[in-house]
Amino acid sequence: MFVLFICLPCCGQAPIYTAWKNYTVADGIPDEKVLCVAVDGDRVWAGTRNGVVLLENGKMIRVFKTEDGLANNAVTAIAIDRVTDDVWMATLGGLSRYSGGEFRNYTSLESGLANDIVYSVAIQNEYVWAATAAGISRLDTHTGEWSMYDDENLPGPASPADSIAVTKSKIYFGSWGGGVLEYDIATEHWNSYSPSDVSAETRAHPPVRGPLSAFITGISYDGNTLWASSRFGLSSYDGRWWRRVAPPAEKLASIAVNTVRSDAHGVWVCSDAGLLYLDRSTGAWVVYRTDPQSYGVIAWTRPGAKLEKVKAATGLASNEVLDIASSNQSVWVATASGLSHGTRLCTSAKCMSQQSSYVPTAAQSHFEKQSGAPRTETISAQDTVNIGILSPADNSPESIYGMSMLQGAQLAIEEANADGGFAAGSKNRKPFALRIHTDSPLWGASTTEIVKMTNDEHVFGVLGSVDGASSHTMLKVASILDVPIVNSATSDPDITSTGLPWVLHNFPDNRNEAHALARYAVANLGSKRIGVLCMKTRDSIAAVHEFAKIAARLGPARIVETRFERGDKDFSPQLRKLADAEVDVVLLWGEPRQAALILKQMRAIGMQQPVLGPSRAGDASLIQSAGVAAEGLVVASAINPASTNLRWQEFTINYRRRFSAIPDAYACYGYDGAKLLISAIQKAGLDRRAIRDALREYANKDYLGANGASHFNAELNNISPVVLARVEGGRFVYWHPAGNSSRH
Amino acid sequence: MSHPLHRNSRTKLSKTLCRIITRAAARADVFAALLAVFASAGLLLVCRSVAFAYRAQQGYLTPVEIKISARGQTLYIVCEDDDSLLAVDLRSGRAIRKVQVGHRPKDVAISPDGKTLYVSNEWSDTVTELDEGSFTVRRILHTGWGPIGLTTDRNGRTLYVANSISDDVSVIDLARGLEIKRLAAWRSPHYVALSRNGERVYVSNLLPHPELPDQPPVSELTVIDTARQVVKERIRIPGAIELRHIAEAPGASGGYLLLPLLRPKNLNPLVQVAQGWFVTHGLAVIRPEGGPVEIKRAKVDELLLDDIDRYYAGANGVAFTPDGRYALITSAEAKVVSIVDTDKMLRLLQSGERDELPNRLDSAQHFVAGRLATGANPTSVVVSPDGRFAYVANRLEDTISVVDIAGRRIASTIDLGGPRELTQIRRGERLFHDASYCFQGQFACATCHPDDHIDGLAWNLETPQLGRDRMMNRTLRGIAETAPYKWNGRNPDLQTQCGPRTARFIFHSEGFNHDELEDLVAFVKAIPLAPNRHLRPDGRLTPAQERGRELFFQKGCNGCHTPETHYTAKISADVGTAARYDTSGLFDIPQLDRIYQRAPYLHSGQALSLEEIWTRFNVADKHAVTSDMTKRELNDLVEFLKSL
Repeated sequence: MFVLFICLPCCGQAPIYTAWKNYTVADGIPDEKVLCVAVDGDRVWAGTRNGVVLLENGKMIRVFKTEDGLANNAVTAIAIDRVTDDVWMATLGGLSRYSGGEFRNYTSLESGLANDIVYSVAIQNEYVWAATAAGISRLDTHTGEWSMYDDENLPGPASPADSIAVTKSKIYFGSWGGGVLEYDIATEHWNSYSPSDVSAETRAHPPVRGPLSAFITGISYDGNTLWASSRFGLSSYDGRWWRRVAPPAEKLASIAVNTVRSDAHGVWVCSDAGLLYLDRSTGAWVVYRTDPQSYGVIAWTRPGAKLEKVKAATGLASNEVLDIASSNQSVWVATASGLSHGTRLCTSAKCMSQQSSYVPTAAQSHFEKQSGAPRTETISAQDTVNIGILSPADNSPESIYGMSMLQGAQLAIEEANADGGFAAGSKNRKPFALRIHTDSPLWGASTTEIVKMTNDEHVFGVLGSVDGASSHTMLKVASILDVPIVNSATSDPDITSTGLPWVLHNFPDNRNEAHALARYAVANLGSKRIGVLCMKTRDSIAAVHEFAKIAARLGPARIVETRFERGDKDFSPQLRKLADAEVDVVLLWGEPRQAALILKQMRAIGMQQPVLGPSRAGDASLIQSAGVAAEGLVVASAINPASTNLRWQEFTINYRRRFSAIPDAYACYGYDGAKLLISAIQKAGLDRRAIRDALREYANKDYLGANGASHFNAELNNISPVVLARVEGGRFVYWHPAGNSSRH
Repeated sequence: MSHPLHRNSRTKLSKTLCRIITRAAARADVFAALLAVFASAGLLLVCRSVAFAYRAQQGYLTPVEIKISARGQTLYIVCEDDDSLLAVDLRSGRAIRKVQVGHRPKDVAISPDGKTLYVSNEWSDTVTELDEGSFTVRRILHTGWGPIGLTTDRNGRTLYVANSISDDVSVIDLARGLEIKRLAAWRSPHYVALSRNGERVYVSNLLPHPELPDQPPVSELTVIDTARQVVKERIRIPGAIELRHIAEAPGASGGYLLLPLLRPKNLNPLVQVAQGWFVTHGLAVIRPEGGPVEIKRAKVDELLLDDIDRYYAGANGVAFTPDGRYALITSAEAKVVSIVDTDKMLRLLQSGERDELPNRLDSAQHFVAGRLATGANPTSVVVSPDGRFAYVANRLEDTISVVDIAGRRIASTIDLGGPRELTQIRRGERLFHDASYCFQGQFACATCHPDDHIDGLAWNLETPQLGRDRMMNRTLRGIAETAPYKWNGRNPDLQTQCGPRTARFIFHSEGFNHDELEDLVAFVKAIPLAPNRHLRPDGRLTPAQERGRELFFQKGCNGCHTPETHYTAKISADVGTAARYDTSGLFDIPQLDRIYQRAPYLHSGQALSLEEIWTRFNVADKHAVTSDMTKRELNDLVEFLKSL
């Protein structure tokens, strides 16, 4: 039995919550992971991965799920319209409006909502703002009109939105990859704050100092200061300056912040390592953690003062804190293991006595052992161990990559099953099964596929995808639903830069390629003026930016950049611009079909400069389409198909036997990715968090794949150098460039 | 027992008007004097330029709504086609006052102190606030789109207005004259009622929830908590549509609610009309519950007003006697007011047959104490505070029927002074609202086309392959120049659409004779479109609408939806929308005027929103190539369509 050791000192106006009551699955919460919480007077709404629960005066009133009208069981954010009392819920299947005991849903197929993956929702008078995986949507509830804000009309790179903070004159959005966006209500003008000039657009202007990371996990405004959180820490913005806000390191084991919420006196920081409160006026910090042995730990300090700690009889349900909502005398905390209700310090002896005599329930004392794996009955009901795959195998410009990736994964699954499947030789033996989902861009449909995989097919891991935006959405959703991801196909370099621990990326990203190509252009070709033709996609723009940075570092090379849309056929304006600039080499960052057209149009107008391209362009179909115009083209390649490595030879034979085709890089890494995931499942068992942890063991280690060794950095990104290939006589000739080391 | 205003009250009315002229002249009240001059000449109408021009030109009043003052001295009558409010002094039976209000007034509310009147103007999107004493306009209050029902709260500080087009309820702070919030209703909220204890405002929704076309309809009564001014509950009324007026029984009589409604059997083939029990008309009996809506929900019972071989179509108005012993319900298309013995009705509901009552045609005989013939299209009814008389507004007759409740008889009829001569359009409008042309009086045209529009349902039409070809109801607004008609486009004109075909396959009767048919067609052709709320006041398109317009032409939508002819090429086309039980994929290209008011969409009502037409039901890109559109482009296209 623990007691409060000492009388807690005053930490400015920072409230101290010493009595905690935890609501867990044992109490009727529909899922152990509580994603969000909102307080409405005596009522508390808590969104979980498996429905939303309503409490009134501390008692559970009801759980709402899809069968009750909710758009999707995974509820990521809740906003209460204080004027109408309507409750708006952001879900992984659309936006739900709860009014008068009934739900009305808004989805991308049935309304103007940009995307069904909704991360946050906020109310501004008659407007409802929704942060989605495809940008920001605004509903005018009076007229029914939807407005969309995305890469077409937002400053900075295309980014999904994550969180929203409404002030009297401005609305702030935390974006996923684009920093903080600011909307001026009066002028309807947008501004952005980013930690660096992450795109070519911002490069044209002086860099704007911004938050710590471009991947914002939470945003809040307290009337004076804007607070923005990321997995790399907390930032504040006073209207003029951005600052990093960092408590002393010893108070936090991790600075991975899941969200931030401000109140009248300070700011709550929800992190992977506990709940923190910063008193704005005094700079005092209070940290709430739960020690599995001692139940509650409260630590506090003020500037210049030592850290002090006390143990409390009760504590948070989990140190992984996801959201918080405060009311007058208490706070409600969403954690990975339940909903916690903290009440403020009381000073009477009787009150203290009651607190110290609190006995945790069995559910509370075992919270640390809970994980995000599917419920037991679900697992036992399955005949297979399911692995999801999201690939653009059909009806997509990226099908040529998606099909290879899918076939590579299929081969790995079949080989694993031939070896006995999951838990071979034991009574729990089950075959692996690949649950195939198409990454189709139509109406943003693919974004919800991972939700279906998790909820309906109970997958233990997911492979995919090729497209950078899809891959980011998958990762974000995976972190909500607790699903490990192995990405074997995207070249987006940011996929492991978000701070979310749920992804292993084994495909060399296009920063690796940009590095190899920049070195080749500057060091080997001696280029001084480099022309760039870049397809307008998130990862292409990021790659070209990386290329420009490296080229500038390696030698004084001037970059002249033009862009084109996917689907364009006439590139004469862009080529004319490059010709006028008298560039001595051209970097062509696009896909095979358009790259072939560009090459032909270049040569037709007499541009004979050397052309470089990414691995995406390095497909045989390019040579076929471009013909002689392709001669001399140099592309990066994630693999060396001419390798004499025995593993590669064996893989090639097996792949050709199974699919009557020669494997390419996507097949190779798809095969490797599936084997990595299978290996983690075999090792960790049917527990998704344990599988994630097993994958994380590859950090800073090598992995011997089908085409050779891959090296994963601390973020689980494959930073192995790429090879280069030149078109000679209608075929690619590969070589390992000298001095090509990874960016890390 | 006799009533102050007798059946032949027209002479007295003229004398009264003469007195008004004298008094008005003495007070130099030019408006009142002019008004009375017109009235004494039999033109009790001040014509003005309104969108609903044809009706105004006819000179009819069209009393759509009626309210009675707290002391029972005055009837306030909303004249829909005259843009006016009339006051009839029942105590003396001698005075009539009139004031012009906004376009297409629909309802009137009386402040608790009786000194202020509020008239909703459906097409002006306003409420006219009137001083009861001077009967003059005090100010104009702005609402949502299409205001109809309205009521003040108990202390007269707040006005609640049901907006039938924007599907919400405006909450207006009367001290400031400003709308302070909008509460979401469901679909086409029409009438409102303040609970007797003042704690709740009830809002009836005319159209059902948008459900899939193969599901029975569900309608909603929205309940507002007046203390917090928020939606407290949404009471679902299964199997029913067209919820109209609302009345609350006195607390001593049970405090339940009565709502007239329609129970359609639209999932059955229309051939069943000949067997009866196809479109039935009845009441919802609702007992609201206290406490959190998540735990306790209101209890809803339904029962029918119809008899086995005679139906009472168009259940609309409802009012209780002060003691709650009787309730009077108007059947607008049967031209009847029914007197319900509520004690017997409640006993029946307590019987073991309660679950069967929504579909029992033999139950009305147990609780209907009397049925009285009214004038044409009785829409609204009120009961005098002493419980002796009820007053029924005969909308298409410009009269008020005075009901002697105890005597079970029409005591008299108040002639409001509309033109005696019936124009062709007026005759047609009466036919449109007359269920006597249907087998056993089951329904009229207006039954499935409330407000000349849609009922929100897909109907299982009678085709050679019975049970197939379920078709969405189509609006009648603005269709004069959109021939051919019917979803299969086989009816070249409205005479074909409304003539023998309707008689044989819909009404299952002899139908209209030649002259009647011409009258009906004249009326249908004269039905106007409502003003478009999605257009800016100056008619310019918003940037999103402009972008959508460019897409509309870029995608070639104008090929079939020709702008010059109400956005229809007047032919049939196969755009890949045929449903499983359709016998053909060819469908008439619908006009797009006011498309935003016509959900659900496509011939079968499969698309619950405009977006779904392309996101769900254009997989083969036959309804224009749209699979290459971005979500942003689709949103723009939808915004443009709303501007039509």
